[in-house]
Amino acid sequence: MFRKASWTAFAAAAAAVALSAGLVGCAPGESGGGTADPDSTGTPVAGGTLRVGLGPITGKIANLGFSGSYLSSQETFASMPALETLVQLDETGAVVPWLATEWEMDPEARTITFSLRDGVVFHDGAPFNADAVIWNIDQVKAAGIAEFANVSGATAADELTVVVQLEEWRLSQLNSFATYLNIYSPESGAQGEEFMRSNPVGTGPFVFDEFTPDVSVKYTAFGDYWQEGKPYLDAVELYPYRDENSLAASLTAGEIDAAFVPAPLTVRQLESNPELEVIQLESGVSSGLEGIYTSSADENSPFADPLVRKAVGHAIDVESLQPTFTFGYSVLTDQYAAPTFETYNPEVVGTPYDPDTARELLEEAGYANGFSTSISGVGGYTDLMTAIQAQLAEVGIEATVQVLDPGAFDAAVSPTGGWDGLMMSAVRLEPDLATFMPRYYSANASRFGAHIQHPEDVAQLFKEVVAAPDLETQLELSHELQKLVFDEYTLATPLWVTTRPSVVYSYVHDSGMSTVSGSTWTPGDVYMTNQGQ
Amino acid sequence: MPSVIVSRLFQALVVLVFVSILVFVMMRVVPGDPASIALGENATPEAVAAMREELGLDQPLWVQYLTWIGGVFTGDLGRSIASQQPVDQLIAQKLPITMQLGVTAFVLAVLVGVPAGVIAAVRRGTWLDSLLTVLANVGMAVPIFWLGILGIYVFSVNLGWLPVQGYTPPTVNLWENIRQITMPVILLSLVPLSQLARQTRSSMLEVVGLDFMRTARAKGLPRWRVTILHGLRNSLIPIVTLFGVGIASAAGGSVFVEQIFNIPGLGLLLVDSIFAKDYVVVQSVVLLLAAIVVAVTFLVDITYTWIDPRIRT
Repeated sequence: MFRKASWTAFAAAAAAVALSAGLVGCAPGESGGGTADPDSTGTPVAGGTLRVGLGPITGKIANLGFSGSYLSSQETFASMPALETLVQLDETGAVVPWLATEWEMDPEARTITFSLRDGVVFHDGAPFNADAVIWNIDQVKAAGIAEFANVSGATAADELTVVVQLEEWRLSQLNSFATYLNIYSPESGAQGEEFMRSNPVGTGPFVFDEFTPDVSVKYTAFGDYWQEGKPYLDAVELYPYRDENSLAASLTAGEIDAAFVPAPLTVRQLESNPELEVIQLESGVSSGLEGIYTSSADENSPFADPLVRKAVGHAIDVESLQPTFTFGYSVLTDQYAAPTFETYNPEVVGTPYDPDTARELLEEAGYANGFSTSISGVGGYTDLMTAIQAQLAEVGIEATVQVLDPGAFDAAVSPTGGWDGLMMSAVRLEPDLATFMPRYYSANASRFGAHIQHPEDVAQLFKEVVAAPDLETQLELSHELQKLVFDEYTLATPLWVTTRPSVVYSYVHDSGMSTVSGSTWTPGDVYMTNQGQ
Repeated sequence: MPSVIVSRLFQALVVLVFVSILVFVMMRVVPGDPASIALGENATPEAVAAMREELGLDQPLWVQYLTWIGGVFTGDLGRSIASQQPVDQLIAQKLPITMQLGVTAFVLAVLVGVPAGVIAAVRRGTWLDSLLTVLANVGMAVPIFWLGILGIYVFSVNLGWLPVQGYTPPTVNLWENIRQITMPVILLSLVPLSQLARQTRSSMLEVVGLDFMRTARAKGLPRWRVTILHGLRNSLIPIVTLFGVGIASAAGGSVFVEQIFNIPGLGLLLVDSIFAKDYVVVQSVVLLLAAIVVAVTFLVDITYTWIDPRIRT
């Protein structure tokens, strides 16, 4: 464990003075601007090239098309002009049709039968059909992608019908087709994994043109796209940024038309520019849940006692921290869900700020005089951890702040690692509890889970949610799970859901960024009204 | 002379072996599993274990070291864990970019720094000397990243003269390339330029009062000839030493400059690879940078013997 000074953080602080002095609010160069509301759907205008800067916090682009390997949120976003999925998620997290027009789920036979959209062609001219879907499923299975381990195989009932056979019945398997399976052309895919990583060939509204690693990804409009009249733009260009200040300066100077998920501080600096609009992921789907995990699996830790874990929750004044540390780009929550999710249980009480209750709970747990511990997290959380440290001290918990580099953090939360005390972290947030909550809270979780307690009733409920025969039952069980995990056992203390804000010029309409879900983008809908300016 | 070269070559080899062991051990001491990072948070423990085996990370450390260093000698640097690209390909893509920045910055530093130092020495005690000395001190003291952000604000956002970021190869668009690297090169040259100016001034001041300089002036030689051929040549040894430092400084500084200006060079690759625990890339890039510094130092050592014949003996 060591404290690492982030030069970019220092640079951000240094630049804040310069930015506030005049960078924000400058004219956007040659691109010009409009006054229309970017969220409103008006009359689309054809033409133009959309230039999007990708925020440094979203990750690096190394894979643009191979579903057999993990894709970061930036890679997913960058591949979406070319690649599409069978189904997508809507604002509530419900699965909606895309390349598949409908589907039938049979719990008895353990099958999902997809009806595929007719008349769709890949960018290389190959037809989109059942064989293509089966080829893609075989790819992710061969690569050992965990979300498809339960798929035993897929067969073609006819040219446009695919039957997916499951090992065990899982309602949530359908969601995996929305998030983990980009449909790639089998003909181009025959050139191998390395080719697929840097050449996305799909059915999307834009044809891949050029990928210069660490510089840009460029696409041009696909004339045979299945949605008639779309895309409206001539081209899309994506530029990954390594520095928040450069991203802000580029947007202000008009070098780019939009910034996809800059850091909240950058968004705060840009929001005063009247020519720019901030778009937030109000739904919270595919967003991040920030909160605190405790080393509760350690029998010798004070956090093995649920009373102590509850005391921690009551000691933290989340409402005072939220505006300071997220600049308002977040939504408070007390469970693994955003308030808009169907899986959000309004009956969860959580641990509202109440230092007196925290002290009483600590006394009841045998820690009337408090105790010493540590609070760890990556560099981005240093200030937040320091604020929490002060609030914990008010109830007698003396916590030492430990700043981890990303590698040390990864090692600590992995099944073979571990940490002592509190761990500040963000985890992926999805409405589908059956797929995602066990990833962090179950005994065989790939992150955190090995180091927190696993009460039998929680473990049983995880199994039941996964095996639920229908949506209604699954929803009921999900609500029960939220109550058990966060009210009964307080296995973690959620703080807020980040809303992944993006910033666009007013002349960019229906940007599709940060609107439906964090893992979805619809560049085919985007149009710009600054043509000829 | 040949024995000097052989001796220096042996020392260089020892340094490179030491660096290779150091970087290998350091990467493994820092916590974090490259397989786990590469596979992402949804990876199963089985998949992580399989990848560790595939990468040879389950082997004893000495086996891993010998496998890597053996590959270096046979020209096979392995594959990047993060991008799956061959490491030699990655380096071949990034090195020319960093070299363009570094070499241009170094040339600029020499072309401006050395004459500035000479002028300051010749005009010692004048307002010009004071100005150049103050500028050199400022150049060394101001943080590059702060100046970079200020430069972006003034020249890109406000004046619109230069682009904020990006890199276009000179073979694709030379004018755009020049526009894009102007600010990064100036920033990168600042520290070595200031050091060269200060060192040149000091070295020149040591020789201007010596007998041979007075003799040269007494013989009626033109002032520029006395200053350059007699003064500067006899001040060169400490200045040439700084050339080596300048190259190393340019390589180190490129990490910051590449990040600020979004230039996809070796520095950026190194930073990414460190955070991704991409062992083979970090090891190979550090070894390459060390080899460059060692080679430059070697050349500087050899240059001494040309500048000062006494060293040959």
